[in-house]
Amino acid sequence: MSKDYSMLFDATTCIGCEACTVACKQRYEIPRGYFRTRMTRTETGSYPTARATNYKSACQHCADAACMQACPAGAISRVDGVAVVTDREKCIGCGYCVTACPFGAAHFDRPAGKADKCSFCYTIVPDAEPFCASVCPVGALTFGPSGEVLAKAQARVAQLTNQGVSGARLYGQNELGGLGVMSVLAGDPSLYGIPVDPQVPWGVRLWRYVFRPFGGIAALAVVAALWMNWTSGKGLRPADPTKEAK
Amino acid sequence: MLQDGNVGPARSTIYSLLSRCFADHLVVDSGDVVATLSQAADPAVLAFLSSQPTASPVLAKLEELTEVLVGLGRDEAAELAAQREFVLLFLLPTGVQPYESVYRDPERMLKGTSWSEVRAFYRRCGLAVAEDEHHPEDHIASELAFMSLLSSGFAPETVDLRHEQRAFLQEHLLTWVPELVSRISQHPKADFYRRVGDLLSSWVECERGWLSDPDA
Amino acid sequence: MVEESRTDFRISRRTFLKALGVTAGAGALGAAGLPVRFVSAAERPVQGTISVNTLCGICGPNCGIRAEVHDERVVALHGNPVDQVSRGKLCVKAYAAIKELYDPDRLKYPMKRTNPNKGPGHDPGWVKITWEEAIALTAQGLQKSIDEHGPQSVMFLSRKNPFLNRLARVIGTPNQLRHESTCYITYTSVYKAMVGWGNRTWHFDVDNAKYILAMGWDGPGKAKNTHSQGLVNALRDGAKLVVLDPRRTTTADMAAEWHPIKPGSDLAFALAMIHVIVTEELYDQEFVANYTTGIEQVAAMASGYTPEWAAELTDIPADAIRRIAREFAAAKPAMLVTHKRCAGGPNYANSTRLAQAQLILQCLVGVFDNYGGPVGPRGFPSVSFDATFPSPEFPPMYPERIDGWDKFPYVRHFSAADGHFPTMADGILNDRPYKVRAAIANKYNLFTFPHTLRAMEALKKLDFLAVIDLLPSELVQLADVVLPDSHWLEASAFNVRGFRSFTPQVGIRLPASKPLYDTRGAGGIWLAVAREMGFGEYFEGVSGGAWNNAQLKAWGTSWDELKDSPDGMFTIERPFTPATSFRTKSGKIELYATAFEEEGVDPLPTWKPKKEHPSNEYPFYFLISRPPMHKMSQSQNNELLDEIWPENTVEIHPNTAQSLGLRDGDLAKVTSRVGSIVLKTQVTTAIRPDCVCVMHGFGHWSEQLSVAYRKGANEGDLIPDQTVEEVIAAKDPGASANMCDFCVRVEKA
Repeated sequence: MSKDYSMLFDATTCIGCEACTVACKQRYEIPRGYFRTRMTRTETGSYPTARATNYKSACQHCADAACMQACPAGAISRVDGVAVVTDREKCIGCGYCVTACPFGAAHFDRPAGKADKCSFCYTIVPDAEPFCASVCPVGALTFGPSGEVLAKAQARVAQLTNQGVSGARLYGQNELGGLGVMSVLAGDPSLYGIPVDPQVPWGVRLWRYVFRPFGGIAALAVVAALWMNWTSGKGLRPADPTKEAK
Repeated sequence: MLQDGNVGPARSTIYSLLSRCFADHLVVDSGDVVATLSQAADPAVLAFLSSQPTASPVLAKLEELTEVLVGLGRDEAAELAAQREFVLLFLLPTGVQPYESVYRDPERMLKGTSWSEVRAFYRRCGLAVAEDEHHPEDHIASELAFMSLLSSGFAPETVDLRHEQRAFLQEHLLTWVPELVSRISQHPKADFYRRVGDLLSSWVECERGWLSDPDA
Repeated sequence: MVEESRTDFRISRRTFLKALGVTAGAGALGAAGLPVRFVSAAERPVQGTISVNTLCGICGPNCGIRAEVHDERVVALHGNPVDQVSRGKLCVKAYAAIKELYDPDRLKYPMKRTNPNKGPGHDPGWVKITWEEAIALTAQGLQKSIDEHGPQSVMFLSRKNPFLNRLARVIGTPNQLRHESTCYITYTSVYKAMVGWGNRTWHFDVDNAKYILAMGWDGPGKAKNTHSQGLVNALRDGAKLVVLDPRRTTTADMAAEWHPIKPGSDLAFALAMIHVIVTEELYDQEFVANYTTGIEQVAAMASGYTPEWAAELTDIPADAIRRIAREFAAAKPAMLVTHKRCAGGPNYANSTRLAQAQLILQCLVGVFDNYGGPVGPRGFPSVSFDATFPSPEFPPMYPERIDGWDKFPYVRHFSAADGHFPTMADGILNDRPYKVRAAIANKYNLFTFPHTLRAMEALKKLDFLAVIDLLPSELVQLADVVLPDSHWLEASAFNVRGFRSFTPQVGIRLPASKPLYDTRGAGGIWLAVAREMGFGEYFEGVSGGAWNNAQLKAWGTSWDELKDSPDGMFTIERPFTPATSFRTKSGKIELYATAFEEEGVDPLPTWKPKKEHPSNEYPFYFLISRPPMHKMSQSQNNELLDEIWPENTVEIHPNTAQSLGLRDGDLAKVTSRVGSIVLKTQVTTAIRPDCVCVMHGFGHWSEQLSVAYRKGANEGDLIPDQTVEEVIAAKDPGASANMCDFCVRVEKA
């Protein structure tokens, strides 16, 4: 059954307080050392014109989800037509989704041997907001029907542009087929430590659409894909979205 | 066997003694400690333990513990040392934190998942910890007191005592007591309470044996 | 004994019981005789999910909370949408508070110390005691000191409380000390003198400001709920934010302009702004004429304070200063937002002057007690505790204080309970003006004190120390008696909305959880100690419930009504009208503070530099702040918050890193003229090259704070404390504690 909702993260409003991080951790009892959502701080430039941004690093629930395509166990599926959700029972702990994600949004819970990530609070939405959205003290997270969220996002971009923020833009309307969680940015995505043009890694495409259907050759493809992904810099380690050491 | 005549009360007494050791520090000449000790050395209890081959370690440790307690009653400095040890082991974070939640749940937090499961278990057996108690349901003293009640038959008639005792042992006590005892014995400040831990450990092992024997 | 027979065992047991003089007899074994008392399940039925109205207790605003409680377990905290202050949301610290409520490290029972040696590395040798014994020991500890050294030898370290205040008066000791002089007294003194208000206001209507000038103010960087919401709303509506700060804070990153001002020179900037606004006649003439006095003197004072003059002192170009002054005057309304340890807080020797200059600027643009500016909180008339609970006459109060507060210009007129942490150690260590040998501390840690190691020596010198707290902090490790505090989620109280209140509103705190441990709140402890000391006749009929109700009833409600109200708030809907007169002698806001003049201190904020400047030995300015998810030194043991921000670092500019050969993560030693600390380096572009910054709240040495233990370092070890003489000599009506007015050197550790 399809539902209609999406979420907007307004990075220009966010104060980086991590109320969202805490709310999610606390409600889902996520073990120490792991996060489903986390603030990433990115500093660009040099003194005194350098500036820092805060970005809410979490699953973007992409329409064209790399993790879903990478998973060999069918443990990642689309719920209600929106949320990309991992099934811990089916997860075999291979970590392909972790390496495949263009945002580094999935992490590998080593003691449990399972991959994990934001679930879009799929068990409570859309009647209730996701926990992160419900706690944000400055209203940086907007949740609702996708049409309304898009309209709010566009209005916000227009408002920022009028206020002289010439780089203001909406991120996620078209990227990866459209992201379930879009963002309003004040400038280039690289200022936020996120990919300018996120792609499903081609190794994952190969794996999903060519080699996986063909069973036996899969092993070779897996090796190739893994090698591609490892060399892309995201190895099989718990995702650590923080770019600046705290 | 388990619910015959004196056996239930005997088992109940041992659980009660153990619960008392973890519930509060020991002031040896206080009424409740004396009453508990006198029950533990009750002939019926000793008879029961002597009659069970697997219980000989328990009997030995119980005698040892009683002897040490007598000693504490005569030696103020030793008694004070045991009271300090109680705080260090059971009240401070650098101790063993005797709550099931702390051992079994990933969250280092009271009133965790294990706490709510233990609480639900008590409810199913028609029981609840009194509201003004300072020990939560999953404190070792509470869990041992619960077993003391069940083993003496103190529960509504609808409760299958044998089944519930076995279930509580398997689903709760046995899942964390071994580690609790291990932490106690490895704690650098453990001395008197090491014996208590040993007694607990032996007792729970015996109980495991009896409760899993369908003929007992 | 093991080899002996059962018979022999029985003999030894009989002997044992005989030795104790007791006859053997089995007590009835049942629910009542168990070490843990059980009842039938019917007495404690399953509770569904309920919402409990309460108030946060982490910081001043006491944000309204709806606690979601499922079957006696607090599962989530939500903001109360009816609360003017929280407007339905909370901050990160509040959301993490459930973890603190259920922290297994919390103090559980009263305890007494058996090892007289105190300090890091010493095991206090705690023994559990009953509350009766704890109160008795505490009363005895105070009484012994009174008998040996006089009533003035007793000291209380606590925030204001009427029960405590009466206890101190009955004893006859003036020594109630609070932390506020290290926090915001510079502002309070200015508001008292210029406006006649009893305190500064916290209510800054940021939402409606069109131009916001922040001098070291960083509400968002501290995740301050009320003001962060306000700022974000203002920016959405097109307000311009300008930040002056030696660090590029969160607020600076949100701003249209950030100027890396030289530390302690904000006063020059403010004076130059006054110069521009007055000489170019940009000020709101009507407001100034109707509601202020002293504009002529201000104009005369400011005549020489040109932007060119200020540029050199501040490192900000003159044309920027001039432009900002003009923009500030033109925007309607403009706000110069302040709070606690921003530049006008007690950080520098010239901070009180800055606070005054800031208030002058606010008045020059005609925005005071009005939308878009500072607003006097609309509250309720104060109820007299003494009138509610009459008492016999109090004994004479010893006139001198251990901290010298009674000698400091102007602040000595504040309520008797204020006081000065920075001079406490000097007084106690030197027994000047007399001995202090007993104290009770309530919810303060050692880290609250500058020159922490010296404060520790002073507190170790006491013959008796009782400490009330939630967690086993460093100060608890020095205590003779530990009195475990209840968590605010377990407590009852009320709080008048002050941090944002256009209309009078009072909220209730109801327990979301029954106390998990054998804990009590401080109010009850003060009463118990007082009665134990034999002062019962001074406390006839006094109780928390009676005092709460006396106040609530005077305001048109009652405890029961508030308790039963669905929103937990009692609000008097009153239209907001700005004040047109003030509580000064003239009835107007005194830009020229005659109240200061009467004290023999400067009535105008003429330029004065900060006290200390970089030297060869100490080349860097030292800055202090706090991370958004921590509350001073209280929250580091909360695993949720520890995971996000586990330790502090010394934040340095890339140039500094290069010149010192330090890389990100290297251990560095930071030294001031009173101490040194070692901690990791963090290289950042978010700071002036001549500054370093360390976050407060870390470096815990109490092993019993198992999560916080040994992470980071305590910057308080670097902060010089003060002598009474130097504070008097400073002639500062705000008695600045100079918390950042010293310099340091940094080197590889």
